[in-house]
Amino acid sequence: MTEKRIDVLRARKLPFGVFDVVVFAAAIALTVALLLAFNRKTGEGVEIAYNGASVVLPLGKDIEYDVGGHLTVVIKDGEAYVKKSDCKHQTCVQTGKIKRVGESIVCAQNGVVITVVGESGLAGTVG
Amino acid sequence: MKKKAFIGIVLAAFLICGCAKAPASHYKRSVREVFADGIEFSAAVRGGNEDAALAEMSKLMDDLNSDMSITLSSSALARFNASTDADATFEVTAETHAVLLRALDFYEKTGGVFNIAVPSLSALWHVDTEGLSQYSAFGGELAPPPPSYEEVVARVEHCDLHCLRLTESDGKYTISKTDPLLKIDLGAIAKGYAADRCAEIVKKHNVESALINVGNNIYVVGEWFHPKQEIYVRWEIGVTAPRPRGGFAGEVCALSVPSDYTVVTSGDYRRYVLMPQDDTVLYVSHIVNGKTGLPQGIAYDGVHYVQKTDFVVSAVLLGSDSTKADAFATAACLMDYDEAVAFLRAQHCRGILFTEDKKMALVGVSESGDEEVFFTQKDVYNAYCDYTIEEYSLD
Repeated sequence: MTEKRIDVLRARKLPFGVFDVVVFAAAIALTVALLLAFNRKTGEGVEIAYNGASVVLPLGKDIEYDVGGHLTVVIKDGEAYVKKSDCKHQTCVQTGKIKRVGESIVCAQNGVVITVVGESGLAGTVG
Repeated sequence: MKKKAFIGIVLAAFLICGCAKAPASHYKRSVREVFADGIEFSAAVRGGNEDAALAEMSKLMDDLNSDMSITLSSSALARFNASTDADATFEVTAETHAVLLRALDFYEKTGGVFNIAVPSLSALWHVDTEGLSQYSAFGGELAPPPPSYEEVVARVEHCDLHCLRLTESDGKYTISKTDPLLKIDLGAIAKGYAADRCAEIVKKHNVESALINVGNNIYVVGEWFHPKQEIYVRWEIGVTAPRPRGGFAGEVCALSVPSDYTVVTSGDYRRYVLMPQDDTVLYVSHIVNGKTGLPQGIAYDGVHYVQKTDFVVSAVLLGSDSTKADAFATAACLMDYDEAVAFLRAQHCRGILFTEDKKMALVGVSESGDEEVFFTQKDVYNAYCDYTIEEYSLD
């Protein structure tokens, strides 16, 4: 920063410009957005429903779980994802990692639904 | 040395806690697919004759499917739909007859908005069982372009439920039609009816506590045995966020409901197809209006079909009659927002309505806790804060 620029800033009542305010505002907005995005509670386990039965695996224990020879579900570092699937569209693999209560991965072709369930818990969900 | 001992004790405590067995859920469960692709029946029962209750409910699902299915060619309703003979009569079970009578009642009460005579419109829009399976928005193909408005209007003429005749003679129930092209489908009401019957079954087997879910028609019996507190408490039921479509956003809110209560949802966000129109894509819901011939949330502007923004995308109905709640939830999805609110209030039905433009009507449901159904776990299930909430009391 040049001497002249420093003098200009010192001459002002407030020692920052419009650009500084924009940067601060953006930082605050980003913080709020991140807080809102991560506000939902992290789940305790994942429920894997397939072929009329369901199993709940804890999110806290790393594991690779095979679902009927069609899908491989991986639980690692408190997150669950589908590592591989023999389905046509690979939507379940592309869904990525889930860890928050209510988030789910669906493999329509194989009829598999993987949902994060929480500790607080609900008796059930409609919709 | 003391410090090391302290750390050791703490570590040991953590290990003991970590190895402690998680409490059992205390419920015996059964899950299976019923009626059609993607419609799931689940039941969790506690106390009483649990096995007998689960077995009887499972048998009920098979019986209702063979009686009321329109895809099983052997069922009376499938044969009725395939026939174009106005003089032909078809024998149905007492149960099907009773459900048809209720469907007729709801048809009158909703001014024809709730209509079971729309299978030909559903097929035209590719949202019948076959279309939903082939063109599913979840991994299926894009559906063909929408039908012409003339085709739609032509089919609406054959959706008049007054053309259905029900007769009862010597304990035999028959149905016939005065319009040879009339077809019916009990899909919009059969799940609610099944939930009501399941509730009767669990009570008959002295089950203390049960949660029955027939394709988004929940019925709770008794109180909920909380898995952590291990005491009976009010049921806490989540409501799936209707947007983004697919139900991937989890619950939008959670409701505290009393015992012997039903919670039913209808909406456009799970069973729908994507239909190309010019350079855009229409979201075509499986719920079709028998009066206009148009699917939920779609209007016709004289040239094109347009996606509405102020329509009810999802309706949650509450009460003690799951059959009625099922029918009225479907009807509410086909009404404008104000009309749906007025309808629920006039019918004295508790419910929640969500619109595309993020309005949420609570009819006889309280956000704060002064109604028999109210929001719970508000710090966890707080996505409802994205909505403009309007509370209405029952008339």
